[in-house]
Amino acid sequence: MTATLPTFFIVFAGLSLAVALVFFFQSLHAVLTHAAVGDGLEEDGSVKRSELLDRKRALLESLRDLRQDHDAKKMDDEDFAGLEEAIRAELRDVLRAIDERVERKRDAIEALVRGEKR
Amino acid sequence: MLHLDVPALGKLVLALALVASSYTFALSLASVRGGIGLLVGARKGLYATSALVTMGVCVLAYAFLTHDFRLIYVERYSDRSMPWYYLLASLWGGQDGSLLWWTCLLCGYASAFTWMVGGRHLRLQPIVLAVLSSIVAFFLLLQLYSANPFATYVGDPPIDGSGLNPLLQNYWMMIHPPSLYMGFVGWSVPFAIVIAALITGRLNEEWIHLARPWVMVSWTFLSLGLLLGCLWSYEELGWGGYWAWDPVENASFMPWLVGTAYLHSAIIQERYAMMKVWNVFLMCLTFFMTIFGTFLTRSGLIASVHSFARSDIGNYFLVYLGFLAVVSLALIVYRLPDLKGRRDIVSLKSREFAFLLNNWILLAIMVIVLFLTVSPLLSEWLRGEEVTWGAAAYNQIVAPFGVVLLLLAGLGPLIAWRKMTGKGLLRAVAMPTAVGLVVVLLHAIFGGALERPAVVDVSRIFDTRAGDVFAGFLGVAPVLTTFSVFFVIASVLQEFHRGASARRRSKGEGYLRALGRVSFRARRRYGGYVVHVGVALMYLGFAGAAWDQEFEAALRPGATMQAGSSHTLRYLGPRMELDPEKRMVFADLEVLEGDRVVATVSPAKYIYRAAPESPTTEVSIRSRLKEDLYVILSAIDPETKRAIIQVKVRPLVLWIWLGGILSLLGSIFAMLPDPKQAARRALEPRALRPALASILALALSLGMAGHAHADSGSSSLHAGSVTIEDPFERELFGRLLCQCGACERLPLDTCVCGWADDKRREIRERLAVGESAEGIVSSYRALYGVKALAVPPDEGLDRVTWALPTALSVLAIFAVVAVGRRLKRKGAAPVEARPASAANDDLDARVDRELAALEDDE
Repeated sequence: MTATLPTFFIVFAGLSLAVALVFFFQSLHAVLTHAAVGDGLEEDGSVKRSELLDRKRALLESLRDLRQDHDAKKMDDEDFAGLEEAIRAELRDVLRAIDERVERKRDAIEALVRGEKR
Repeated sequence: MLHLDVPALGKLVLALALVASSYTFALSLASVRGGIGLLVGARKGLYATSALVTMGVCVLAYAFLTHDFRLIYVERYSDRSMPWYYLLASLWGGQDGSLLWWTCLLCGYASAFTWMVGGRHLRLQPIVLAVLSSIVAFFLLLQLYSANPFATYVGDPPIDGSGLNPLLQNYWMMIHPPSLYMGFVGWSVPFAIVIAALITGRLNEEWIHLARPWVMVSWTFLSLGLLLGCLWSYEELGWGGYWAWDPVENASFMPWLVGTAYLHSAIIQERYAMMKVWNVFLMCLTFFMTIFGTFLTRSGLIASVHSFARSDIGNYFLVYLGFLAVVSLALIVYRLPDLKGRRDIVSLKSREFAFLLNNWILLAIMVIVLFLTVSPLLSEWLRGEEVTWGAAAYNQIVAPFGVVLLLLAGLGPLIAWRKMTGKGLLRAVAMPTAVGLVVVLLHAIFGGALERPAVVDVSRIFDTRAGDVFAGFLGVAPVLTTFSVFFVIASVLQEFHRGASARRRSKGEGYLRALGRVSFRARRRYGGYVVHVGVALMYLGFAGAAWDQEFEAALRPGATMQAGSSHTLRYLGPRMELDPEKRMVFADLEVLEGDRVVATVSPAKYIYRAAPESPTTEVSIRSRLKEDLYVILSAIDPETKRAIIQVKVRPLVLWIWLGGILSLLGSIFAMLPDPKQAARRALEPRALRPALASILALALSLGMAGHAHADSGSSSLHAGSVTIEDPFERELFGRLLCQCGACERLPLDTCVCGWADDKRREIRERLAVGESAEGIVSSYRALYGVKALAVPPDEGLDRVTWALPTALSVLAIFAVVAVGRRLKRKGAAPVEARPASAANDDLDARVDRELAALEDDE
């Protein structure tokens, strides 16, 4: 073990250098050629979608917690109704926003498909 | 064997890494305006930087393994007799190497983030990469200009090295610093994310979601590092304790406190889009405290048992801290209009407000610890005289806040989100309170007979009314802690039961199946509850310190000694062993219960080849749930075989480690990835890998810890084997610090250096002729200054040091309540009833379907 460890580390150091060089050249290549996205970068618009989905999930979880607390008799019916409606109202807004986005996408995709067919 | 010019190669690699990180920083900034090619270039540049830093670590490891004593760092922290694993641990044994190790871990985190985020969060990503690469560049600059691990001797290198400090040649040192560093360094990623959010103005929940896994991983590693640090202190330093409030310990504890506060308040923003300013502030503060802690540890400005040598590196950190504070605050102020929450607190009887209180307590403790930790510096600057605040002062001042925090840990799970009725609250707390009171009653009745009284006598740290108050509270702390611990456990069990019962009713499942499902499907919530139980068990262990007992005897072979009512130890005789590094002298003792031998313990003295003049003392510990038997060999005469044995009975210590492990398991449970959610986000297994890798690394660390603990029950000592005649003497010695110049912060009741021995002898003589303890303390202070006292007197600036943060912390509760009330007024605005419509009905039906799906397959 003691004899082979130095060799292991120096070989690993060499490999690290090789990896560094490869990445550096890939980096330069990407910068100089303004390479097209090659590693799964998605279009910026999808961030919005993931935000909406995250918000929807957070609101659903809030609603679930609220119901559990109500079931456990931690809050009275009147308070529960008001708080539930507040969360539901925001959920409806989020669902509408998601739907609108899907519709916009649908138009774009249909236009794309029509264009390709032509 | 290759003959490499390691020093030149190492320096070259560090310089190249600095160039690569600067290149990455520049590309990241350039890509902010949307240059996708530039962003790809920055991502690859970051990977290249990481590879170069990894290469630097490999080169340094090679230098250690080949004993290349041309390097000053290798010469100072290793020698030829050390086994390979300690040679590798020497990588982080000193200042310069640990900075390189730190940079390597940071690069690991940065690369993992880059890989995990892939092509998402394109607005935030460039800034995150820029911030991370700037932090990497800062650490590389430090190494190149101030703490270069590849620096060489000018003349001929020595034939052998000085060797690693024997205290660091311990299995805990193989895993404790890496865990702690993983915890410290990890906060860089969420900090970079919040800075990116502030710069880009994307201050909704996106950054909270993006930061969450990194916060969880960093918090868990920091907790593990702190726990392992306690274990190291307990087993290795040999004074019988696990936490001494040393500045270096505090340096790790403060970011943990702020990070814990953030963990709670972030949940409120995720759920209800509230407390945005507060969360941004807490995240910046957490990272600031990690750098501040590093500054404390590495500047050498504050005396500590295990800080690094004093160096000019502190100046670099000071400048960096100033830069961080200015930039963070400027960004927060600039973005204040965008940091307005969408909702407000509806009621003070809500979980949101309980979280606010939790944040208040955690920050209060942090502020008090901060004041006491930096007080030596403040005192020196303001009046040219240092002071030291010993562990007793910290314990007594912080304890009340600690107990309130524990109560909140039990109360939080019981309170409903948003708004709870008074009746509901009473109903929720009834059972846990009843359980706590029953246990308190049993404790009060039977505690005395079991040598665990509910109320204990505690020495005052001040001779003033404040001293009475603090000592009075600590005196009743055992019974308060007992109540709080069982209150927490009962409240968490009640919540598990309620969850399972509700599911059983709605789904018709068996109880155990419902319990399993409800826990697994709300992992974050129930994982958090498990963490609370773990913390409560740790408190139980802390409370055990109130009933510590110490015994000492000089024994010849065959003689016995009594340690408390239930332990008898019989000394069998000395035993010697040798290895290439050291000579080991053991004293074998049998532990008897009645006439039955139940265990053998073997405390020892180790005489290291590299430092024969200062033998270390290895303690031997017999751990039981009820108590630990902590046995120290103070001295041994090889000719007469007479041994001086010190035995400390430490009740409930094992609960600290069990509670710590339970907390870590709880946080791992909370971190378990949700495959369905990942699939929904179309991230494929890529998103799961980092979480799984983190969990695997943690499990490995825990496994190593468990294995290491099983390997041996002994360790070395630099303090603790001091013969004390009686409790009065112990208390007096505990108030005076060794002033030899080398034993930082060690009181005379534990310091074993020659100077302390002489001083104890002198004080005993003065006591024998009738001098009072107060007179001795006064003359000691007159001779050596106020810095020679373990706790400074309660007067002038020293009173301000503890009273100001404590008063501010107590007063802050009014501010918290005022904030809660203000938010409540705003939040109490009635919800506008929306007109019923077919569209709304459709959406409501979808909400119900989504909710059912969430409960079914969450």
